[in-house]
Amino acid sequence: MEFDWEKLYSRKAAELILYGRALGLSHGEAEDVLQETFLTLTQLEQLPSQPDHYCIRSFRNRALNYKRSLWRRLTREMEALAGSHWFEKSNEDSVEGMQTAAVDCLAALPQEQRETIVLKIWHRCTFEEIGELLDISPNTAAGRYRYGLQKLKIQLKGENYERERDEIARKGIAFLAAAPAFGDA
Amino acid sequence: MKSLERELRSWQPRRPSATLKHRLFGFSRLFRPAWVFGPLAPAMACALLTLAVYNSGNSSHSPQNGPMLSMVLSNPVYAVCESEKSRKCENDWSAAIFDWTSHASLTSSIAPFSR
Repeated sequence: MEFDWEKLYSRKAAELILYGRALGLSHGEAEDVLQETFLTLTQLEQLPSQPDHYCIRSFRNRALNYKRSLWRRLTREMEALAGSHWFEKSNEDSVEGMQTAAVDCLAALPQEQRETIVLKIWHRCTFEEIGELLDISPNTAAGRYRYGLQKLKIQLKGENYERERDEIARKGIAFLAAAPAFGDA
Repeated sequence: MKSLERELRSWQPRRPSATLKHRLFGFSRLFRPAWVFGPLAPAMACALLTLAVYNSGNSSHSPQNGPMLSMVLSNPVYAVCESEKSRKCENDWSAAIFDWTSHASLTSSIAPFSR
């Protein structure tokens, strides 16, 4: 029986693109790597025992090879400056603001913590699976995840605090501007 | 921590462009060799066999190859016998390669060994 790679693509493509971003690729580069990966997968003569994990591993290997080129690194930095987003745009401003902050925080994390967070949260991998994929123990994977998430939480809290403070200040200024002057009363 | 995980999980990662999926599966699905050649394989085999039979029948070197071919197809042992029997000069590599060395006349005006 032939494996349905198209179904796997539909299920995993967006998560793999995000994983590519976590590994330091631009969105366009992640798409290129995704295409290469699936072209190879569809031509496999023998079906791997765990197609999902094989797909992630294959994508990771290609992504790491891909980002070595200097020219690609330059274009990637250009795209990073242009502020390309990692997630689908939300209708709510608050969520979008938080997403931007989270992406900034994720980008500031070391790559190993960032990729562990992406694999755990969006790919829903277990620590055993992450350990197998990255050739580390499950405990190390769990440590990286918790440490990274802790940093993310602290930074997002700080970001929220600053945003709330700015919001209060803005409202205060608006209130004062709307209030009548002392002499007018 | 759990609420942050839930919040992050609720965000939908940015999807790749629709053309990528089309490039990967739209074209290959239509022109997959198994799909195209699967039903056509028996017809192609018949056509090839017919061509082979007619060509062998028209050959001036072996006018009796038509019945022989059908016999060979029915029993592969005959194929070995037939190949041994029908070995001729044009299929003999040693004869084809070294035949010109037997003739004394050379077309070149230059002597083979200058003294």
